[in-house]
Amino acid sequence: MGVFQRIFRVGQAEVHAAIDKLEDPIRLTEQGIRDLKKDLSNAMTSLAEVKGQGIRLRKQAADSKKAAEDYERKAMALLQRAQKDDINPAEADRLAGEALARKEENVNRSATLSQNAQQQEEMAAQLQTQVDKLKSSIAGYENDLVTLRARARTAAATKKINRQMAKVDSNGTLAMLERMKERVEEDESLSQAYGEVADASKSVDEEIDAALQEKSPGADKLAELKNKMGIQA
Amino acid sequence: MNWNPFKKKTDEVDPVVDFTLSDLKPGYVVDYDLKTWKVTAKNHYDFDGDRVDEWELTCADDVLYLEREEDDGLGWSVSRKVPISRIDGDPRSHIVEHEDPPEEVTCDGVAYYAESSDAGEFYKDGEGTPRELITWEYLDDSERKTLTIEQWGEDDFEASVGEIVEEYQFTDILPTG
Repeated sequence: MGVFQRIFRVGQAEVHAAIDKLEDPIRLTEQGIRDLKKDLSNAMTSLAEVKGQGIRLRKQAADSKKAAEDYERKAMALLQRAQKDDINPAEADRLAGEALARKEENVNRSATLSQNAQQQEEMAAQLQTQVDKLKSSIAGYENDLVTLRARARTAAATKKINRQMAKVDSNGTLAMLERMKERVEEDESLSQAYGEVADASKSVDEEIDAALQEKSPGADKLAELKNKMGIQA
Repeated sequence: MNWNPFKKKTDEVDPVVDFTLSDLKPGYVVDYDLKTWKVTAKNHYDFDGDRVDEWELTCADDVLYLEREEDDGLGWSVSRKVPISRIDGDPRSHIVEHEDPPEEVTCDGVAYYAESSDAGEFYKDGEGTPRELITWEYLDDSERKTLTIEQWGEDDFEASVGEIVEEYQFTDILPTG
């Protein structure tokens, strides 16, 4: 591996590490949910438009069907009038033929519109599935976010405690208390050593004086016993 | 130049995905009574400060009027226009003669009883110059079915029949851009 490539990889690793530090899982999840909601909002708008188009086409199909029925009724009325000699039979035939032609046009238009409406409705059903799926995903992620927030709070609190504990262990109170204990022990040892040195430096005169001054605790008892026995001290 | 790289970015507004019935606007789509309806108009009435909102809902072969009224809580109803001639007893003549329709009327075999009357203004599409009207509201025995007679001007009458509904009966409200 070339030097430059290695340097590049080190740089890459450092950048990744820096970005990892910047990534806040809670904020990123919240943003992700917002993005999903935006997608859902757009999908819902599209669905509304497709459904609206379906309604419009169904209405137009119904209107065309009604118009076809009207033309057929009119054609029949024309023929009935011709039978009653109210109008010229040839003219009635011509007009009735025209009416039937328009009836056919409307029947065909109604069929085409119904077919288009059917397509729109199928598309709406597909979109509805996607919208439902997105809604379900968002609800799932929102539930996850609640758990994630709780876990992040616990992790932050644990991290803080552990950091405090780590600080205390190295140069905190525990170390100080240990030092104080050692110092007291040092002082005790020192005082004992001074005592021994002081004992060792007593002179012979001082010992004699001390012996003279010191009264044996049993001396009085001894004199009392000698007196009782009649022995002269 | 006002660009400031250190300025804290304001939080983006959460896109709205959960719509309520009150959010309906023209172009929106809603499901009711096993049919998909498109909102084709939004009007409102003003009865001496009391507002009543009305949405016109259209499907392939039907037109429905959804009304929201604040009266001891939010109340919803739907109605369809019917020719006033369908109401027995000629309420039109009764109003002309007595300034009020009968206390009890029958329509399609259902008896309705006078509940209230009000004078107000109607705002088509929620704006513009209002039209004045007088309304008479009726309820049936169950107090779920409604009948309304409206008088617009001197001799212009309309009637509608409908029912009290609940908000949960309307589902899948979808917006348009």
